[in-house]
Amino acid sequence: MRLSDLFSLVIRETRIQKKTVLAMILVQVCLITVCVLLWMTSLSIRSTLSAYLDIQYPEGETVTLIRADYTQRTALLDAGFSEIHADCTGDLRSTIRCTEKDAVIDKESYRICYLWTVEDAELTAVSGQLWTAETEETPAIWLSERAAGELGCDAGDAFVFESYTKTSEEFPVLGIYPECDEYGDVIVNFVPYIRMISEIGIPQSYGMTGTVEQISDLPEIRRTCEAMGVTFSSRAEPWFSSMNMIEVLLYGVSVLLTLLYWMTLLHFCGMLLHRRTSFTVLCCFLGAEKRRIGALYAWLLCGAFAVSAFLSTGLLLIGIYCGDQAVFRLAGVSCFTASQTVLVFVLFVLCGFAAIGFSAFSQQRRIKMDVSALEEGGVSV
Amino acid sequence: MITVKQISRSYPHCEALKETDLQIQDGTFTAIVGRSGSGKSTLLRILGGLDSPTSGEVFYDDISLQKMSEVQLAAFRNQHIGFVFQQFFLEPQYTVYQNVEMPLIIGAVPKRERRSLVEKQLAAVGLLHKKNALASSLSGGEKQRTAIARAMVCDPPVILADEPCGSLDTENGAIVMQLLRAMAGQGKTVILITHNREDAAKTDRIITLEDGQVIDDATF
Ligand SMILES: Nc1ncnc2c1ncn2[C@@H]1O[C@H](COP(=O)(O)OP(=O)(O)OP(=O)(O)O)[C@@H](O)[C@H]1O
Ligand SMILES: [Mg+2]
Repeated sequence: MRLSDLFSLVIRETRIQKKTVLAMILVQVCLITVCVLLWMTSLSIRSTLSAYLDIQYPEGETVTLIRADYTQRTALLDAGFSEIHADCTGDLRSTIRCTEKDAVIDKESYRICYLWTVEDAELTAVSGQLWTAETEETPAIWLSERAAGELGCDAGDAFVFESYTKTSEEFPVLGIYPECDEYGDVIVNFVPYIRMISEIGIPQSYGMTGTVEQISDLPEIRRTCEAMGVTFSSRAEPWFSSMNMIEVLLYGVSVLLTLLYWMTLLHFCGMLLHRRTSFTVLCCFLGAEKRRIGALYAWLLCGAFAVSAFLSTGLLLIGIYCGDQAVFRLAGVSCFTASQTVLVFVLFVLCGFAAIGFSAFSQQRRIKMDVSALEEGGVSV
Repeated sequence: MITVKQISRSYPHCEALKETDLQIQDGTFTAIVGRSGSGKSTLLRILGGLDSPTSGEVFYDDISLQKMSEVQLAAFRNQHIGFVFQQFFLEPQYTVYQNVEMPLIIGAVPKRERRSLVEKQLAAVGLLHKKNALASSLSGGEKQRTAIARAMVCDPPVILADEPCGSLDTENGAIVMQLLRAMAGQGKTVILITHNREDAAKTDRIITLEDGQVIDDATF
C-alpha cells in the first residue's frame, strides 16, 4: 500500500467515523487541558503558598507566647525566634525590701518596671552605673532619683525579694537614674531570674511575644516550643498545615483525572477500531497486511489526537492566563511558569501518542482473521 | 495447477476435512457440491489461504501456501486469488468504485492505472453507471456483481466463489453464473461452491464432498 493511498484511506475512515472522532477530540481537548492545568497547579502549589505567606508577613510573624513565663530567653531564641519581647504590666506578688535601710518598696506608690531584655540605657546615671547589655546577667535594681530620695537608698544597697518558699534573692542597687516616665520609679533586671520567678513571685499580668522570621520555620519552631511547654497561635500556620492537605488533594485529583484521560483515550481507540473490525478483516482477505491496517488506524487516531493536542494548547493558554490572573489578584503572586507548562504538556502529548500507537497495533493484532468476523461486522451489507 | 495434499482441518468439536487430496488444472471451471456441513467452505478457505489446515499442504504449482509467511500469503492472495462470497462482503460505506479499487490500493497499484482497471471491470459486470453509488444502496445482484468486479480487478489467475448465487434470485444468479463462465473462458481457474445442480452442471468438473472427504469427482 502506498503512503499517499494510506492517507486517503485515513481521510476516508475519518469521514466514515466522524462522529466518534469528533467526540474523541472534544473529550480529549477537555481532559488534556484540565489535566495539564491540574498537574501544573499541583507542582506549583507549595511555592505559590510559600510566596503568598512571605508577602503576607514580609518581616516574619510575631506570635504571642503562652506559658513562656519561666522559659529562659536563650532557649526561646534557640528554638528559632529572632526576637523575644516580654512585657510585664503588673508586678510581683512579693515584698521588695531593703533590710539595712529598713525600706520597703510599696507597690501602691512606686511604679516598677521589670526588664526582660536588657539594652544599653539611654539615660545618664545620677550615681552608680545604669543597665547595659553587659549587665543583662547581673541581678540588679535601679532606683529613680525620687524613689532613692524617699527610700533613703543609694547605689550599693541591696533589696531582697521574699518568695513564698521563704528563699530570698538579693538585688543590689546598681545605680540611680534621673526621673523618666518610660521606666517609672524602680527598674528590676529580671533576666537572670526568669527561671526562678516562681520562687520570687509571679507577675500578675504578663505578655510575651516572639518573632518568627522565616514563616517556613514555623512548624519546626512549634515543635521545639511544645517540648518546652510553650504554645502560640499563628495566623500563618494554618496555611502551612493545610498546605500538605491541599497538595495531596491536588495530586490525588490530578492522578485520577490522568487515569480517566488514559481510559477515555484507550476507550476511543478501542471503539474506533472495534467498529471497523470487519473492514480490517476484509482488507486482510483482499491481501492487506494486518499491520498496514494497524498503521491506518494508528494514523487516524494520531491525527485526531494531534488535533486535540493542538486545540488544547489554545484552551490551555486561556486557562493559564485566567488562573494566573486570579491567583495574582488573590495572593499577589504568579503561580505558573512557562517551563513547567511546556514540560507537562509535552509529556502528556507524547504519552498519548505512545498509548495510541500501542493500542492501535495491539488491538489490530488481536483481531481474528475469520469469515465470521465479516458476517458479524455487517460488511455483508 | 492447484494441488491439495492430505489436507485435514479439525475444529474443537468436529473434523471438517479428512486427509483430502485434490488436483485442479489451470483454466478449468470446477464446482464443489455436497451437503451442508460437508466441509466445502472450509476447503475453499484453505485453498484461498484464509485458513490453515491442521495437517497437509496446498500447492499452487510448486509453491506451498503453508510455507509462506503471513506477509507473503497476504501478497499472494492479493495477486493470485479473487474471492466471491454468498454475503458479498462489500464495505457498505464505500462507493462501488471504492470497493472495487480496494485490492488495487492494497496491491500498491499507482492511482493513474487504477482508474482504467476499475472502470474496465465495472463495465464488464455492467455497473459502470453505478460507480459512485454507495455499496449499501445496491440490490443483491448489483452487490454480487460489484464483488465479482472486485475479485477480478487485480486479474488473478484463480477465482474462488462460495455460493455466489446463494442469496440471489434466479435471474441475477444466471447473470453471476454467466460472469463466472466468462472468467473461466478467459483462462482463469474458477472454483465454485454451489447447492444448485443446474449451476453445477454448467461447469467442467463436479467434485462432491461428504463428511470432509471427496466421494465423487466427475469431469465432463
Ligand atoms: N470456525 C469454525 N469453528 C468450529 N467449527 C467450524 C468452523 N467452521 C466450520 N466448522 C464446522 O466444520 C464443518 C464444515 O463446515 P463448512 O462451513 O465447511 O461446511 P459447508 O459444507 O460449507 O456447509 P454449508 O453448505 O452449510 O455452507 C461443519 O460441521 C462446521 O460446523
Ligand atoms: Mg459453506
